[in-house]
Amino acid sequence: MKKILSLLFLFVLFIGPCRPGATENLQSMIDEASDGATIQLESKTYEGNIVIEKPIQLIGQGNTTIKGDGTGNVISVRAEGVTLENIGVENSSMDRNSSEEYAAVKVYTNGNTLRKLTIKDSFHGIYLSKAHHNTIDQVHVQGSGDEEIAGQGNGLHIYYSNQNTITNNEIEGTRDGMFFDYADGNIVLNNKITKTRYGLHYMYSNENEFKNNIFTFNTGGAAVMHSNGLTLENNQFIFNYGHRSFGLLLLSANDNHIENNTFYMNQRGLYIDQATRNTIRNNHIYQNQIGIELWASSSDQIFTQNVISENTIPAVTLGGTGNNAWSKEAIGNDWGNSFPILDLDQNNIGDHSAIFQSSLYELIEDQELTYLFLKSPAISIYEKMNELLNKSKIMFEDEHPLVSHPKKQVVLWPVVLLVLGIVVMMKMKSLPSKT
Amino acid sequence: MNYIWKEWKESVRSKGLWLSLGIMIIVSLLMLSRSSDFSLDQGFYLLLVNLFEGLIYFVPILCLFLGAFSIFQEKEQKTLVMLLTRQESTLSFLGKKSLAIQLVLLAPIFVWFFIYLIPLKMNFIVDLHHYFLFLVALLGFILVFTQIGVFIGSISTSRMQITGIAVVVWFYFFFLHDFILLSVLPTITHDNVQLFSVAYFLNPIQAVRMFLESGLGLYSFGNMSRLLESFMWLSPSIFFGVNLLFWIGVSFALAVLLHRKEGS
Amino acid sequence: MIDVQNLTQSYGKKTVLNQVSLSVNENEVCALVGRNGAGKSTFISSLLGLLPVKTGTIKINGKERSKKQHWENEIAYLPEKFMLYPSLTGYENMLFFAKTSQKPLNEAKMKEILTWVRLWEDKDAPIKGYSKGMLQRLGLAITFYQDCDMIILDEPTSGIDPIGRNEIHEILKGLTNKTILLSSHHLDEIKQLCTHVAYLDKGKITKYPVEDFIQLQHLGGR
Repeated sequence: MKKILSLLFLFVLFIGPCRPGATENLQSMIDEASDGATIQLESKTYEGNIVIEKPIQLIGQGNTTIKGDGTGNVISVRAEGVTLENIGVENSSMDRNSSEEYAAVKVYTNGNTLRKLTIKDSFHGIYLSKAHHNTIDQVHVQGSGDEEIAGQGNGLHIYYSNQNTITNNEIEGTRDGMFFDYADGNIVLNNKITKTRYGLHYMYSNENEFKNNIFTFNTGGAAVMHSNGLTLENNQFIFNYGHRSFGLLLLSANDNHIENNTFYMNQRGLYIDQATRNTIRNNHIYQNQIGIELWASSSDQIFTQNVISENTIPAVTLGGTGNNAWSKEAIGNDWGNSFPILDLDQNNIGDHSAIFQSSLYELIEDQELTYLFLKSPAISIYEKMNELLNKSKIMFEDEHPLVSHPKKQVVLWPVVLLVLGIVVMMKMKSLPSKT
Repeated sequence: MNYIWKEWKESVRSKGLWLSLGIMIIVSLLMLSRSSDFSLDQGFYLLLVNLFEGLIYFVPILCLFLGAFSIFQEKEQKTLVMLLTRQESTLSFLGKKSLAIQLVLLAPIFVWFFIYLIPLKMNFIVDLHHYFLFLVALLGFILVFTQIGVFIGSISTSRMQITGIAVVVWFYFFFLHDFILLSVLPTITHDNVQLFSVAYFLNPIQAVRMFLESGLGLYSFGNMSRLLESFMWLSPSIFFGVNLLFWIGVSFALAVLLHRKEGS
Repeated sequence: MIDVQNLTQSYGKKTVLNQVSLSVNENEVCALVGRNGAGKSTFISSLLGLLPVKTGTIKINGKERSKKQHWENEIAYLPEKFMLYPSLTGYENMLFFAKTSQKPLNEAKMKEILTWVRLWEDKDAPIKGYSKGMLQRLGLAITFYQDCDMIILDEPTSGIDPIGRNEIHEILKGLTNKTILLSSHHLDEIKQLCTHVAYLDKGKITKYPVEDFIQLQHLGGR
């Protein structure tokens, strides 16, 4: 009898069915693996938290999840050459009072690859702490949304980390989408960031490249502060729309190149304050409430070859008269239909300057509630009245405005003809019935 | 029901409703074509915002005219007098007539925007909750201006008068109201910002816009300054609801009190 | 019965009706006659409660009219120059007004009345195609449907050709046991249809038997 019971006990212990969802000890698996090993995880939930201190590859399947215990980082990478791929990571500590900033994946070393991770329920998504030459690719970070700022961290937090490649990631609903803090030489491509406070928050970070990213529905698309030498190209800043929102903020940011970007339907397309020597070229800034808000503390900006059209206010200079250039090498900007500009010699450059005057600058400077009226048709009347009373001030003068051929209204004419046709038919129908 | 049935028959057989609906359909389709270049998720919200901005230009004046002329025709045709000498009082007549006008106008618009979902779903990822919110905003907007139109028709004695008053009302809400507020904006401080807020949200255009944009999650109120917090002392939904009730109530009450039975 | 005593109505400083009194007895057909602007419409509006009465009394069947009183069951009224709802058919117009009544709908009665006024065959045509005579007959049909003892008609043959007028006269002659107040400018119509004439002039009403009034007209006095 005793033998039977012992055998049964051993059976249950070693061979018997596990509880549904029970995990193998992942940390043990990692500790037992040799350097360079590939651990193929199963499609189930593993318990965290784990620390990786050797170069291994951790590869998941469709539903592989590593779930933290809520006390710290779910995955800490403390070795170089680690690859994490195709894994869901969730449930880091949410403690904001700790000196340690917790994350789903926190990387302390160089040369690692984080690919196809799905992160949620964590304070920060991925935290690079003095970690260089890492690749973060196709990571999806889902924050708690609802404009929660204090209770959560950022999608990607790059701290004193250089030369990293951050590509094809999607971040939604975190505090900031990506936060760069003293991080230089990083390449950030093809990411989508939405519904965060700042989609991109750059502080004291220089010489980074930022291309083909899309920022939508954030309070601020990208806030570049105290950072220099940034290349911002082919990005889209769309629908960053809240009170005092902006597509791109340059604050104490110098020598940056802002080129070929789209700023569409933002409260303010560009907001430039205490910034110098930035080149803003060939961007499409349209249907924003304020195309460019430029504070006089900023100087030596160059605006050239941009299309700035259909904004409620194309550009406004606040706090005095700054010293910025609205053209370069005799090439200015295309202001769309904002100004009637003659081009009699047909060289696509206006025969006279484009000068914009506005009286709203005073209101905007002194009273933040002015932004609430920018969509109102009353703005145009307000401007006109003050223009007649000589209360307007020149906001900018583009000496070489570009003139483009208007787009053909392909759809409009058939529609107009259709409406006219219907009206004529109805008129004709009503004529013979008179008795 | 009798009034609704009669109003429906009249509207369906006349031009006013169909022209209004036609314009709305054309504008909706034009906006759809403009927004189709954008991505599946962005395009939906871009469309709703742009569509709303397009509609507010002509919906108020159309509604003012439709409401006003519908009432005025009852005077012109002497049917009002016939009804008042039967079972109706001014209050009951205007109540039934208002309800009939509103329902007859709102129903086809609602149906159109229900059909509109089909091309929308083909082009974008549609959030039905947000689309419903857009409909609520638009229909609320129409309710307000149609009721104001009923008031105009009730007090007017000629078609020229209706046209003049309707244009003035439209001009006031579209331009003058905000212009006055802009002019007093430099004097606004924490002490009077709530009063200013009431004045701001009295304008149905602003109340509806704020309701729509905040409801769609586009307009965020995160990190508000103290002044803005005081300004937004009620939620946009409440401002919208109160605005609706205020204008419909006041318009109806004034229509009854200042009603003139005869047209010229 | 209509009993008006000392009714005064003014528009601003202009007094239109100056302590006017008139009694129209049961089954009388009384014409209300006067020059344009004499105050006929004001008098009728006062009777119907469309104008507030500050001075004087108005009694219908012995009951004084109060602010909230509706005369739907006592008086049927057809205004002058009405147009009804042009885009609705004759039948739909009649149906609408029939349904506004508190009485239950009686479609058989509607058919009977429309047949009597010779509109049954045209009932499904939109009334914007009706002639003036047809429109007037439809108005009468709507009025008769109310089935009140008292009927007030404001210029029922105004603008109608002689043949149309005759048709309407035939219809009105067919009414029995009704008290009718009829505003009219046509002496021949008054002579054919009325038993009495209430002559309104300079804010005062004088009531005559119709024969006496016709005789006075022939003597060239008025």
